[in-house]
Amino acid sequence: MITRFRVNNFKNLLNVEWRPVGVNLLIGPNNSGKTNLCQAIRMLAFSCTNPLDEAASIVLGENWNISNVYVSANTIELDADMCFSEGVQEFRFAYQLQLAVEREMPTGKQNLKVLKETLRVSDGNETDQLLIENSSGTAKILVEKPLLKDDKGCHYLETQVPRDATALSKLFDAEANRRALLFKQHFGPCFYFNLIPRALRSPKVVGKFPLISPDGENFSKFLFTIHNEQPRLERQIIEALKLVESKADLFNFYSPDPEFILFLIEDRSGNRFSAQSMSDGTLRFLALCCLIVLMDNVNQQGRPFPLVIFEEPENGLYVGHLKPLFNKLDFNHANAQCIFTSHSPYFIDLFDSHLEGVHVLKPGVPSSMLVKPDPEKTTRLLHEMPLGEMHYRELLA
Amino acid sequence: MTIGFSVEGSTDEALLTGLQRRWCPAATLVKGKVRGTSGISSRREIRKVCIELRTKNADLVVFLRDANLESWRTVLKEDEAHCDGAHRHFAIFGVCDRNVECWLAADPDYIANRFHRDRRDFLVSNPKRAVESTFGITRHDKKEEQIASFVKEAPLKNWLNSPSFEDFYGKLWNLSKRLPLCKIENLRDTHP
Repeated sequence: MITRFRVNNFKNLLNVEWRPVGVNLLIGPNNSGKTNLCQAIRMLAFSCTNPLDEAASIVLGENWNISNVYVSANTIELDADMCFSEGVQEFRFAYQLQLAVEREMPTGKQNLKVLKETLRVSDGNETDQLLIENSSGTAKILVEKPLLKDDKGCHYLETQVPRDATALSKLFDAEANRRALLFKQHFGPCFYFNLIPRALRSPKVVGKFPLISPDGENFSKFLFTIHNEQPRLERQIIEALKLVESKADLFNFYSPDPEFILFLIEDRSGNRFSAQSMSDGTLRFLALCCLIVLMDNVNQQGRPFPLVIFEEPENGLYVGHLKPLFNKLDFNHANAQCIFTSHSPYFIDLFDSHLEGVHVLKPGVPSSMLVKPDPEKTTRLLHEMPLGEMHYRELLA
Repeated sequence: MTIGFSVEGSTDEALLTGLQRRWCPAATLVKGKVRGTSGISSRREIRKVCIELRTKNADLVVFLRDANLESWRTVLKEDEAHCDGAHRHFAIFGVCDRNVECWLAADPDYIANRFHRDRRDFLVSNPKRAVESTFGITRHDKKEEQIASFVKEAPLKNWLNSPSFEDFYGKLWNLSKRLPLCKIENLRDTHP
């Protein structure tokens, strides 16, 4: 779980520090930087496994507007503190990345290079230990296995790493870099969803996504995998779906070739409804059911689930369905971490018993500000109006 | 000093802005939010607007609306009844007889002279269209600044001919004793 995140000079965020909890709600008017804050987290997460330019392309979809346009600074800073438990052992990581931004002329593209990178860990027994220190491509990496047979303890390896990627992304030895890789495994695979019905309907199989793509592509394949490998989970999804499609009984699939899977919902009388015939709202509801049920299942098993970011999950959903659907999320589970962005007062209302998870972004130039609502004032106002209405009336920040 | 307000349209807001610039130039205006668009909604929202603006440290809240085809006194009475005891001390209700344009045209000689119009244009029961054409108000340009300047400079003592404005002014006058930063003119003393 990310316990602290700091971003500096990334899009409209200058020196913004955030302390997220398990389930978080990011709210603010349009253009306040909710998506940018999520992108900054994803950028740092993707840089653990990808070259920097590739990470920027995946996360931002472009390389022209990465740094803040109002300040002339040429460095971007992204820091994350993360903690998680493995068995009885607790790990606390601190990862700091400082990037140089170089503008390529005449295209105007911004190239990113590592200026500084450090990864530290403390695990309760030991005090803080340095795992990676990378200064402009000259790296010092902790090797956690003996070099010689009778050698005890760890030692540092000094090496050169390419500047267009983090040293962390170049570590693969699960024994020698055990804790660095543990961090990478937990922080690297961060899921982001901004579901678009057109993508959810697509029967095309996209191999590279383990779940579904950020916009919802590969959803048919995802459902097909659940259908074949996790029938209990499939049953739970069908049960959750009954809120909008009371007669839904099972999923069926039509797949003339491995690259094409069309899913259908079948009712008890055998009538079939394809993704193409479903309304946008029903489709989004189904996709959310799948993701929430999946997250809940992983949590119940005590396994950590990567950070999940949902952009405006309420889009297209009947407001009366929000509460029963999102009640399935365990707000207090130690292993789960998700971030929601929303504009819907009805969705925001669901966080009234979870105020510590509410964070407000206030737009500004050159930077937006992240504000934590005053819990005392907010609780007092809850006697008068719901949380969503407080947001509408700009009383939260 | 902060003055909260809740109004129905841009002309009402411009009128309030003009009064604030005239009598409380040091004050900041903060607009309360109303969910919905109907008169029923705005009445229902009175309590919440009071809570919102109190939380935003408003020293008083001004509610201004049109009576349209109803009696302004009836509308005023019903609006005031929706304000609970906890907020009555800092809420002021104004209801324009028919619409806010009636107040802007309450001194037909002044508005006619200032804009070189025929005073008879404003001597009608509903001067809305005359006022809109005088200021050049369109769907895309509400001329708020011009209306505010007009209100700031107009001889408001003549507006007391309008009983609904006189009622509104009377409440402001009474409240001004509690608001040291507001210097509200005594329009009644100079009233012929």
